[in-house]
Amino acid sequence: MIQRIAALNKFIVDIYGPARILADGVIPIDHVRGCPQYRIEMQGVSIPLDVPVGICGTDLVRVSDGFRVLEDNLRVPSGVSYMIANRQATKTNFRELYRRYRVRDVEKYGTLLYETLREFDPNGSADPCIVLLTPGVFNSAFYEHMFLADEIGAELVEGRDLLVNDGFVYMRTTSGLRKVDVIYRRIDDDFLDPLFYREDSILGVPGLMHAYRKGNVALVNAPGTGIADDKSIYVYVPDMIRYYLSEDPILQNVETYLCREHEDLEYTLDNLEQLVVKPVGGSGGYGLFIGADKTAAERDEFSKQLREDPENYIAQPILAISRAPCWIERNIEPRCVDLRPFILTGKESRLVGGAFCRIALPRGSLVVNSSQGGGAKDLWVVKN
Amino acid sequence: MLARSAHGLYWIGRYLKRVEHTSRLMELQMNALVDCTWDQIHFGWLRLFRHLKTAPHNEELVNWEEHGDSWGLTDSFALADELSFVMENESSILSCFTMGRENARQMRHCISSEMWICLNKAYFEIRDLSIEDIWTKDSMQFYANRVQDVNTFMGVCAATLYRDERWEFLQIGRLIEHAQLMLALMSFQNKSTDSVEFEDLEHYDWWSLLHCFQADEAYQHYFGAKIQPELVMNMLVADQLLPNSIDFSLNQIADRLSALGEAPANRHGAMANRFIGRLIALIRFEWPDAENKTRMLTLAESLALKLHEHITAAWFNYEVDDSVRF
Repeated sequence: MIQRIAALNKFIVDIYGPARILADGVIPIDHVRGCPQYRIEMQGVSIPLDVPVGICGTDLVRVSDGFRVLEDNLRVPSGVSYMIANRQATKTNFRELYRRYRVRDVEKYGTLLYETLREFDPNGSADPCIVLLTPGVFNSAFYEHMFLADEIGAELVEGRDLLVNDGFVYMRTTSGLRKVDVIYRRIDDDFLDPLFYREDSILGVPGLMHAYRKGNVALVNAPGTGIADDKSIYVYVPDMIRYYLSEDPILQNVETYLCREHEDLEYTLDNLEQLVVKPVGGSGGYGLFIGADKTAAERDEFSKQLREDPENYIAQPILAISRAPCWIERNIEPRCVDLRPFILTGKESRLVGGAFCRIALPRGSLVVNSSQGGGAKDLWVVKN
Repeated sequence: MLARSAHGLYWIGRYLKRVEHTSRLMELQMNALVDCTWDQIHFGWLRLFRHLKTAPHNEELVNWEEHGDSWGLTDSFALADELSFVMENESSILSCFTMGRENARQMRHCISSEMWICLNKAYFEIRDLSIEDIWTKDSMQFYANRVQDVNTFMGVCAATLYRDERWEFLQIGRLIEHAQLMLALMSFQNKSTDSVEFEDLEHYDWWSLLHCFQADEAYQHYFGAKIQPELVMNMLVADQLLPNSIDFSLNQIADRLSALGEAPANRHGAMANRFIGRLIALIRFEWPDAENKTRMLTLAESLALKLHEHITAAWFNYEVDDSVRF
């Protein structure tokens, strides 16, 4: 995972800079520049530490011959608080069992996150002012925002608490305006700054991008990182690893068909029953088309949709992903699981010995996303 | 600390004080329903609604203030509902509890876990109740329990909240709400004592008011069993040793403001200090000899409102140009 995030970070810095990977023809230029996640405003911006992705949550699944990367979440990955909350619940309720194993600690995540964020301080001070920018109490991840702010000792701010003056970002405190050095932002690019992105955004801070471009404040993750976790770019990650690191990928991707390519589209249409089709810019399990679960008429209907807009889709085989025993309605039953380890990258990459483990609650379901009714388990990584 | 967080804590203090205050008076009113005359009951409702500066939302209660022959228990049932469970009424106990909890939910990182658990537990106990659930069985106990909920919460605050600005703002909110509500209550009570409308009610429930604000024992100890309205009024307004008196709250506010030190909007901070000084001087030095007590209470009410406005402008919603930078 460290290898993968290193390549992804280099890719983002490259495409918003000299774009060598495009010039060398490793990735077709239109796949990048035509992607809705490509942010032209980031072109030429100096990114602190050359690390646009400080916090990454990579989704892994286990199949018959090892682990596969399902997707990289490089914008505002969530779920880490549940990893810690699950662990606390396990420690409280299964004390004896827990004590018998040498389980790696996940609760130091807050310390690692603080260390990582501190490294992004543009002034390199010993005690930078770090804030966590949340959309507010109505966001479904607000609990996590609050939890993390508490863990790292940062103020939990909303857009209205911040203002930009003379190219610097300040927050309103009871002692006056305090200069902010690092913003761990948990709002999407589109809402960050109404002067740059969506002008109807009331969640962001007018002028924030101006301060960021001047290098007066660090945003973690940087705007525009979505270009590297777009599903149509995912297919090129192994090539990025070879290109930037001159190494072979250690973790493999899931076989992926780009519907924008004629051959891949034809293959997808011919084998729809064995494939999962995903919209390239989607997340949270929305818009998935699982061929095996659909009727012939539904597949025909979807085929028309695919032909009309092939660039918007990728297809992957339906994987036999690993299952774990779960306590469901007073019975032990198997359910599909995936893992989301969190990789923190500042001057170096850091991981905790654990992951957010998601389960697909309905019997036979492959969709683990929390927004689609997924559940969670505590995952133990046991020391040798 | 973040100005918005401080503002949230300030309003937690205010909302919960209002819950406590209204619950105390509602308990008193439920007691009155047992053996008081309709006139006395009607007076109790008028006092509650007018000093809380609210009116019933129930259309059938539009003319409830016109106390006639048809006035009866049904009205009390609806009026109690209004001040207890009607969410549209911003002064109802449930509404204030909900708002206090909502502020706490947004400020959870600023309060201790035990405070949150305590508040949440109390909220869930009343969230799904209605006036029908409490009316015939244990209405007095219901209100007594709400007072206890708030007292427990404040006790948990005292035991677990770090004594920095968080504590100060929570306390300032609580104390300002208390001062404003008590000023409004005393003002109404004083006006009513002089009013022809309530001439039959002279001396009515001064004793229960003392009891309501935990001043009955101190009164008996110092003044004996005979109720003298002027002494009761003086005690609730200007007694420096009674924790529920207006004077006591004002002095506490002054101490808290002084602990906070300079405000980011210095001009408003200085004004807040001036207003609290003026209020204390008014109650401590002018009140004892004032001929028109009602006018003095009305003046104090308006000063307390301005104090709130200056605190808000000084620490929470200050203008950027006014503020200190660091």
